[in-house]
Amino acid sequence: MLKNIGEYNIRKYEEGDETALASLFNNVYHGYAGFVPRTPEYWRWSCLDRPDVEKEGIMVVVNRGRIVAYVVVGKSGNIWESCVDDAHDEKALFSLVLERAIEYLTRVGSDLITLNLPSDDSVARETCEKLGLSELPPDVMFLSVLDFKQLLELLCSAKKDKLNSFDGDFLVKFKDAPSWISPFIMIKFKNGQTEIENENKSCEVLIETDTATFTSIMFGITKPLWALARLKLKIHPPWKLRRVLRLFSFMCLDDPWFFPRSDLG
Amino acid sequence: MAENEYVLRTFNKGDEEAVAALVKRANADNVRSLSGGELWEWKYLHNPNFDPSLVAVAERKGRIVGCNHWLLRDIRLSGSSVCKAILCGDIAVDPDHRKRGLGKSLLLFLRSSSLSNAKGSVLSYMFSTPELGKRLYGPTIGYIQMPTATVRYAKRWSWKNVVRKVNEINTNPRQEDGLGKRATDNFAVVFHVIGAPPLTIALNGGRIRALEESIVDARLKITTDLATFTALSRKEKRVRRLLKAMLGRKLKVKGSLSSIIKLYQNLHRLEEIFR
Repeated sequence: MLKNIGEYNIRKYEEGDETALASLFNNVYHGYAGFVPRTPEYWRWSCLDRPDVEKEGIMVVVNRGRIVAYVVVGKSGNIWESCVDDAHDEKALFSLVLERAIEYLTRVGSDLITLNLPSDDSVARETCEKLGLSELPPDVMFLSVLDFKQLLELLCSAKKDKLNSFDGDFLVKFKDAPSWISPFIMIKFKNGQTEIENENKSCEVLIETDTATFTSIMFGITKPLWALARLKLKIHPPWKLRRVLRLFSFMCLDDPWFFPRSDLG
Repeated sequence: MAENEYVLRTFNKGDEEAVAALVKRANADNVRSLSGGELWEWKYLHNPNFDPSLVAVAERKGRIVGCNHWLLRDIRLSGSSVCKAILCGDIAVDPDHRKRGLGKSLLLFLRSSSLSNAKGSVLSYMFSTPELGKRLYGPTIGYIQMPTATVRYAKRWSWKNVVRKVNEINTNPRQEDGLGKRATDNFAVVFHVIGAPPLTIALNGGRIRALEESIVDARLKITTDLATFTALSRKEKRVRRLLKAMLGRKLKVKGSLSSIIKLYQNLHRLEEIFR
């Protein structure tokens, strides 16, 4: 039950809300990998203009003139987006918007409700279970790297603090590189600076692998030792193994990926 | 795929109507009437990130028979790192031109062209069923299955739309629905899905009936939860999933062996209803 319920007002979307709604979405989800930043224009297209969404399906909770929660419900039964400002009572607000969403869907003739939640949001998950929702198998994501040089540059810049003390040259050789991917990537660390080039030069350590294995390691799916054991990864000379493992552990992405239903395409 | 039969190219102005119609036709199996031109126009033409040069089409004798839509987005990777990424949207192939590798060729066409590099995109990603993903986005194209921290929740409180769909199928049967097959079958199954009202599906000759209640003389009763029920509605690896759910006591089947066999023989009909 929401404390001080009189301070919270639930209403349908009003023209001009999109700036506050986009900003709330960005505040709540910016910490997840895969997060697509919302601009008011993008939010309008993604939610308001969606063919199965009508204004009555966008419920907004206001506290002292500020939007603190919202839900976008499509007549198809999909909750395209749901957001609660964590400075407020998340459990009560999420429960309130979800109950209203179910009421709305029943009214428009839908017979089911589906929504996506981050797996670490235990409050929202508990609320769903309390309201009788069951966990279903999630949509499966497939990913491929189009530009390894750019990806490594981004990772090096994101992990700059960890990589500052790193020195040495590493050459990554892809055994299966298709014509549109460079088969060689040189990574150089010197005095806190990183240089990444698509070139083949002799260097201290050669990492031989395939594009899928390297992608899996960089995205934290495959452990490098497991790839070595399956002969999907080779390191020359072998005594540089510890150094390569350290490099991978510093560079690999460990942020959880989350996608609301509006981002599934 | 016989390369010379098809011409692959990027989307041109004037292709809108043909591509929207193709997506609708190709998705008819999944959403009988939802994926209309309105949905396509919203999803692509009105999308602030839509770039026609990232849509590939396959033509045969001047007619568009396949298409693949890519959408360029900014996504967060880690910390403050944001990169350009491509979301692979609808891949649609005309039902008469399927199983010739056209979907894969369209995907490769966009990947191998210099377009994605020119747009500065680092990643390409998409959402699909694991089975389709493994077949289409498999290792030959370098896609990996990515675990995410996304969980899906759902609740069903009525079967109103299933009843509506059954009525639609009865009024407008398609050849592939198999309604002409086993026209002598008379058989009823009751589904008790936890949290939802009971549903009876009765096959009576060439007709199907769906009732939002449990009928007493049903030869087969199936009790399960929504997650298992949803997973079983999918065609891929269904037998394996069925056995796993039964062994894990997530699925209880009550009925004679002959009625279970009859259910198995009529799965194609149920598949169409629950899709």
